Amino acid sequence: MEQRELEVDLRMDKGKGAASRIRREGRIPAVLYGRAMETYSLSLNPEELKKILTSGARENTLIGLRIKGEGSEKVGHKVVMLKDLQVHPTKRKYLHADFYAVAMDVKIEVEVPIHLTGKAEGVKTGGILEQPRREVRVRCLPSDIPEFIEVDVSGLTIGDSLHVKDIPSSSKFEIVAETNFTVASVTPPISEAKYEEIVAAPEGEREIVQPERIGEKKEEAEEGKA
Amino acid sequence: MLAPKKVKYRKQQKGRRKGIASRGSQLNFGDYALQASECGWLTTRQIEAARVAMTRHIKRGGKIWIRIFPDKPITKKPAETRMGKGKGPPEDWVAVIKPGRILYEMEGVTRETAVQAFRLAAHKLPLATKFIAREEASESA
Repeated sequence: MEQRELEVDLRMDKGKGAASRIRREGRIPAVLYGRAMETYSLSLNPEELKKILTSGARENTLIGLRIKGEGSEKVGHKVVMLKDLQVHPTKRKYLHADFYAVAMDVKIEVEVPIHLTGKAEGVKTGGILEQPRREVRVRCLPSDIPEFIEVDVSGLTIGDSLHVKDIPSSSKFEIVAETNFTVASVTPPISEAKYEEIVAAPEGEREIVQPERIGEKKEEAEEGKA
Repeated sequence: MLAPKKVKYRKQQKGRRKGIASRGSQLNFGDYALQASECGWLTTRQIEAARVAMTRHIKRGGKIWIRIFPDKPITKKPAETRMGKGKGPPEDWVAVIKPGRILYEMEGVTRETAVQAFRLAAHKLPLATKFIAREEASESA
């Protein structure tokens, strides 16, 4: 797997005041941690991170951190993976990143996207292809993380579904799933009658049904006994 | 019409809508979504009208998820009533919406169909909304 390089600054100031200052400067705060190592606070350019996350293996990309700043020689060069990314809900800006230092000889578990290929038979006859699960958990060495796993759905007819256990296995990774989740299914389109019912315009002045109050019946029953 | 089956209290205070949505702001089920850009209340009728508009456009293809539920009772005093004598009876149910909240999601349709369906739906809502797609949601920075 290709490894990308990212330049980051080591920072000593912590807390939300410092984080806000960093964001005002156009950078974002980040943190680096891993097994048997100290935790370090970093700051980075979100545009550079975006370039990495929008290409190749996206969030599963191995990143080589080039750490700069006072005390950076103590940390050294680290190979990391993105563990968490906070994004602003409306502006979609990156707010904070968590990096996890990985050991290249220790297997890790990551979520790998599932790509559906081919056009399902059922879709040609009017069915709807659904993908309830878009990622699958995989255990492998950091260098063997697949960009995505391709699943062929061309054989699916209406009513058929593919499960986690149907995903083709590989010698490089093993799929970790306690439950045999549905990955893709072709469902029949809703019937004409049901469609008419669904799209029936809501009546203009439909009465609001008053809901039952929790405990109301109980109180009445108790009053009755008394 | 969407409304709770059971409630603990019949009436609620009005409340204030501060900040942005932290929950329900991610695209979780479908490929495309309609996201609120501003805050407001959506009544059960508005939610229903937008859903019907979308469903009519996508016809029998595709799947729609409604990500909001009107769980807040709104009271109103009867017409020509003098002030006082307590709070009026519950008249409607609303969902409290903050910026960033995903309102509807859609899957199984083309991007063009989804854009048009959400455009029709947005006309039924009293809020500014925007269209988001799965790939863009993960790529934006």
